[in-house]
Amino acid sequence: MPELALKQQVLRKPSSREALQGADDTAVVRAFLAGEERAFQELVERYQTRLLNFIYRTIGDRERAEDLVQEVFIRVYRHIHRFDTSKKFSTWIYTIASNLAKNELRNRSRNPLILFQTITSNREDGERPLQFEDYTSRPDDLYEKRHLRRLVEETVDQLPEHHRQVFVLREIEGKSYEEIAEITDCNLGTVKSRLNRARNAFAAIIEPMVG
Amino acid sequence: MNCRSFRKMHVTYVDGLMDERQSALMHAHLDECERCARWNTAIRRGLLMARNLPAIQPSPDFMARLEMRLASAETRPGIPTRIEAGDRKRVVRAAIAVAIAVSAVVMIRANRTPSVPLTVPAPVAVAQSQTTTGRHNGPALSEPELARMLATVVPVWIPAEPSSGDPTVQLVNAGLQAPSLSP
Repeated sequence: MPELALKQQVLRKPSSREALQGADDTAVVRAFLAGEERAFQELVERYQTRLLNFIYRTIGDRERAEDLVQEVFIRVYRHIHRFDTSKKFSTWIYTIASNLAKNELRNRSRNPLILFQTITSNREDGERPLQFEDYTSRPDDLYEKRHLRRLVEETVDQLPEHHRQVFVLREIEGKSYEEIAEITDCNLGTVKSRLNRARNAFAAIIEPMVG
Repeated sequence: MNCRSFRKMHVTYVDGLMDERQSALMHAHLDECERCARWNTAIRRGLLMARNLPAIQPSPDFMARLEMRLASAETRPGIPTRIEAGDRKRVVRAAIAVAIAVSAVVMIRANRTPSVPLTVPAPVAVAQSQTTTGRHNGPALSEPELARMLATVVPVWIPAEPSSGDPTVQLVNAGLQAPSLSP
């Protein structure tokens, strides 16, 4: 039985961590289900940064994004015994993250005070709104001043919610159209359409600075 | 090809997922239409920046906080103590199904007919999984490299050959290809 062999391998302490690190997601999940607690830690280490960036780019609040990533892992821990190991673990965990991010945005839209507090807490002291920045500098000058990166981040933040999520999954997380369709529970045509609109909206804002 | 068709198909074009014939039509339109050429450049440069945003890292105490939460009684695997919103409907449906089954058994016994044995569905068989895909291959571009590219080139992405058994396409960071596309 492959699960038993893997469990025996990971319990030989000097190489167990390496065995986990070299295994694919499904093997790590199976090791955890077979009783290897360190396997869950491996999953956390693999996905914590990626999920944090995905959720942060979707909701725009770093502190809250970290809370939601923790919630993702708690749900994974609680429900992993129901996970179908014939499916991709990556898609499953991103779907959980996507749903939590969507719920967060939905809750915010119902409470404008929370949205305002998030915007003001994320802005550094003395920072001017982006529309008053100097657009006449050359791209390399702008980048050296770190403004270009902020411009990109703010532009992504300005995208409509549905378009932003697809944009982040594709452009920042590198997911395929099929994975995005599964994560967001849309068909392929909708994914491509939203991605096209997201890129259009993104380009419309960016073009004066880089065109 | 007109501008509308060009922009409609632009997603698969910029991701390098078109066949040669369609790509040639798209290239030809770019050579003829300055407006679409500018728009194409803006999108590609914008995506280059987006794909090279630096990743933010979790707080140093992220793992410690998570371990504390996992150690609490409410997060034992397989023993949820709170029903999450999405599970409520499933629980209600299951309860109704159980009630109907119990009623059926009671009625059958009351009519003194032989009891029907309850069957339990076999567990789902587990098949081999696919490997995961991650972020774009290769390290992010350095700031001077990125600044140079933004000022001079139109980025083109080349889909990597899918690894055996993995049908998904991986994005590769910008290659400076197709000279005809540069402004």
